[in-house]
Amino acid sequence: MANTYCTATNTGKGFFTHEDRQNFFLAGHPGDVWVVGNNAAGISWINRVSGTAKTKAEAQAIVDAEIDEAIVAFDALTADAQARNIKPVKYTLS
Amino acid sequence: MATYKGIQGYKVEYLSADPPDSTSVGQLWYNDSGSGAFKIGTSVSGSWSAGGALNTARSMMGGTGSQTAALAFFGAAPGDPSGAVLVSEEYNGTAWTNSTSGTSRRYNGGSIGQTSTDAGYAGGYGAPPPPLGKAFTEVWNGSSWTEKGDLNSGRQGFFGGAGTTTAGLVAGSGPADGATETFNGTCWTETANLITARQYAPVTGATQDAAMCVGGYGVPAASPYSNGPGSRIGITETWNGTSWTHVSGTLNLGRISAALSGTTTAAIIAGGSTGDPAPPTTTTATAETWDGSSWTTVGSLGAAEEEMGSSRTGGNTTALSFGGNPGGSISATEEWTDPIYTIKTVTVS
Repeated sequence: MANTYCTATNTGKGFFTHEDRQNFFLAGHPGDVWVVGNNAAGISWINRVSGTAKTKAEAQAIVDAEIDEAIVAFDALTADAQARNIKPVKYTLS
Repeated sequence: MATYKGIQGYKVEYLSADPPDSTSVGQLWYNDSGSGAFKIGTSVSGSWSAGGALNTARSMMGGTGSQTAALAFFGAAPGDPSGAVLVSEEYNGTAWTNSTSGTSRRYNGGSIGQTSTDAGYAGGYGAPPPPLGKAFTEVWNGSSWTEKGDLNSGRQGFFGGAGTTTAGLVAGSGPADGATETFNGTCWTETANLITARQYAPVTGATQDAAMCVGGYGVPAASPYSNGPGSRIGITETWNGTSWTHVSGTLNLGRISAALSGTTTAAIIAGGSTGDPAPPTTTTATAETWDGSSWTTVGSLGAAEEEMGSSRTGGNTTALSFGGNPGGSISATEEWTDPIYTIKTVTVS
């Protein structure tokens, strides 16, 4: 499996470093979901940031729920406000 | 026992302290004869790392300064009655600190200035009643905001700007009519329009006479750059103080509302909303660097974002992206550094 999944709160400076970016794939998503390269460095990072492991389906569900919420918020905007914002779109995690 | 000099014909240099990272690449040395360890300097391609979080999550804000001394100002924030914030924040390379507030709540305004002590915010969306596109200008001197002359027309949909608070420039805003205005510290003057009118198009530049406008949307259907209604384009125009010129370098991924930092000869753009050649749009994490003639895809942001603020100086080697919107305003900051210098220890025993 190329990637693994977790939730973790971005705590700011040092949350992910240049060295981390060299050592494993990392991509953040709504809901504090992180897609992490499934190697020793990636797993070590999840432990370092006190991440909570998720299955891909669980991670996808969190992202979908966040985007659903953003879509509801977008739909509630006035037409003028919608025109100057971008409607969120669901997507599939890698 | 064979020695390094006996095998290679050279002695490894002894240094009492490591040399600076940037000058150590390719060098081999040791510090402690008893450790049995050599050190070697290396460099690898750039990447984005996490920086300190803004105190107020926001998007569509102004930004100036460098990776280690930046300013974030104004912007949109959910929860505020007007949807916009006033408080400024200063970054020291590690953390953001709240600073003095401006007086006119706006977001999506044009930001001029190059340092954390010289910034200006022009136009942008304001609170109702309509017209929502404002013309106000406020200038920051490092300690307070002062109102200056208005833009010649209420405008919004800016991302960035160029020059300083005594010689600035904004362009790439809505309505997508290509309007460009220059600022002399007191008032704004309309000047030559962009060749390809567009809005939400990032702008950067060190001076009023050397700016660039990249990407955007709202391009008229008749334009050869249009890929259909709402498409995000990747064209680049440069400004020489008199007129805009289309240059051949085009973004590898057309985008709007991205973080753009640097100059007409060295810049980096990251994130934004894509949809090239056509919608549906998505938020991207990708980044590209500009060397004065072409864009090259480089390491991506840690998370896909759009509508961020950005630093202004640092060329294509250092930059900041802060705040933004992946479905709601956020506080995250990311720091770009290229190359990454590392001193590695090589154990030989």
